[in-house]
Amino acid sequence: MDRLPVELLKRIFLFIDQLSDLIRTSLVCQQWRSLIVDDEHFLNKWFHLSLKFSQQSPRSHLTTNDGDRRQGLILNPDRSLFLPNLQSSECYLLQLMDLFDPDDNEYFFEQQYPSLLFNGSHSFSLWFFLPHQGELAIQIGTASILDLHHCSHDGHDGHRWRTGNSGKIIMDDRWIHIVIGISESQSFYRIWLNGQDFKTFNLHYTYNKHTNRICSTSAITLTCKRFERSIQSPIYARIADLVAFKRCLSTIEIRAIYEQQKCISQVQVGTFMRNERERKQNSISS
Amino acid sequence: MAGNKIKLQSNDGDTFDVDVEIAKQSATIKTMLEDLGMSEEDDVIPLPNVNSAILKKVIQWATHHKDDPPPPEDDENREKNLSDISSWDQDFLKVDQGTLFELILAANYLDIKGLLDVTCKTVANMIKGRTPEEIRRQFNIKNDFTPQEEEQIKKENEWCEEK
Repeated sequence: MDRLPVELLKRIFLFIDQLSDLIRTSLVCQQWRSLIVDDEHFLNKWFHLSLKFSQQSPRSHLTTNDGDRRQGLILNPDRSLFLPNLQSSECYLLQLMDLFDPDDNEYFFEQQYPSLLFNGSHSFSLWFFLPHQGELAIQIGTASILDLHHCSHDGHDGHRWRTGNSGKIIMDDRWIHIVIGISESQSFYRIWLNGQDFKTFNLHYTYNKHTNRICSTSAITLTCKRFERSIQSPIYARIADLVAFKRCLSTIEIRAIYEQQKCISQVQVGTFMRNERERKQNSISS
Repeated sequence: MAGNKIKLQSNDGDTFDVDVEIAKQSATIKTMLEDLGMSEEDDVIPLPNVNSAILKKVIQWATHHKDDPPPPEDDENREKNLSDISSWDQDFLKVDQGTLFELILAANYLDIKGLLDVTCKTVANMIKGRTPEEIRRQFNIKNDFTPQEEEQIKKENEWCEEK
């Protein structure tokens, strides 16, 4: 092994596909550790490939048929409504549910992706912008796990949201990054908001007599509502870079995506890790 | 041109007659033939970094894979799936570790991307699912961390408590 030049060792390490294996590899010896942990470009590349190859594409690619609509989503919206770094990703609008038109304003994850995805570890990453008077509900099964309310007069600048009465999350005019994920070894979903671990949600298992298997009620639904009755033109929530993965994203990846505000295909996890380390060292020395 | 042969010479002096098309899977040899105009049958291409045993294996691999489509240039398009080594390649690579590393070095020197990928994948598979101690034993690597360093690494925790 010691006859191999470092370029070839790195080439081998790029073929390791699990983060847990890469971490263990970095603990073998000093040389391997520095090749992996101290090399921002190697890590950028490794995570780039890992994120790319663990993605799950939707059942059918989004097309512009059906009047630019699919599953309640409006496709091909005006790109200027979205964060500059996210404009190259797939962007959608989701109409806020109106009292007079209760249809077509929910996004069902189950219908978009092959059911196989939900049998093992999986996660979803998306950027979300809630308009004035809007409300976002994310449900797993019948339980509400996230309840976001827009409030433009909220003075809490340091925080990107705050928890209001009855567990509601109140946010102002900002984009929010949401990750919902579950790993095979666990029986609960985790939610991250803006890179922070926000909540875990236990699954309720039920027995499916048709398949003779224990399965979970893990139907994830995303619904947008107006919380004020009004007769206005339709208003829309914005969704950008909604990506499904066949594994649960790691905390470091989620934080990198949020901090860099980049599409999954452009996020640089290695650069994020280097910056984090420098920040930590500075805070220790000062 | 079909059926033309060239001679490849290993560093221990043996020469091998190889079809030009098979030899051209090596980008290094391809460049020599095309850029340097080495096309005559009498020409012997010396390969000072490869011994006979390894060159024989490489020719065996290249002969089996002579009709493969060229691998994608771009690393982006490379399949990362580790289980996609063909059964022929798996059998071919049932060799001792020394030979495996020699093959990696030869594939790198001769610039045969397909062989380099499959050999690197094979080594990566030997790492997968193992503890650091098991990996050290597997490749005969010395643990050169002091206990203090190991403690420090655990504390730094740059991967953010990945499970």
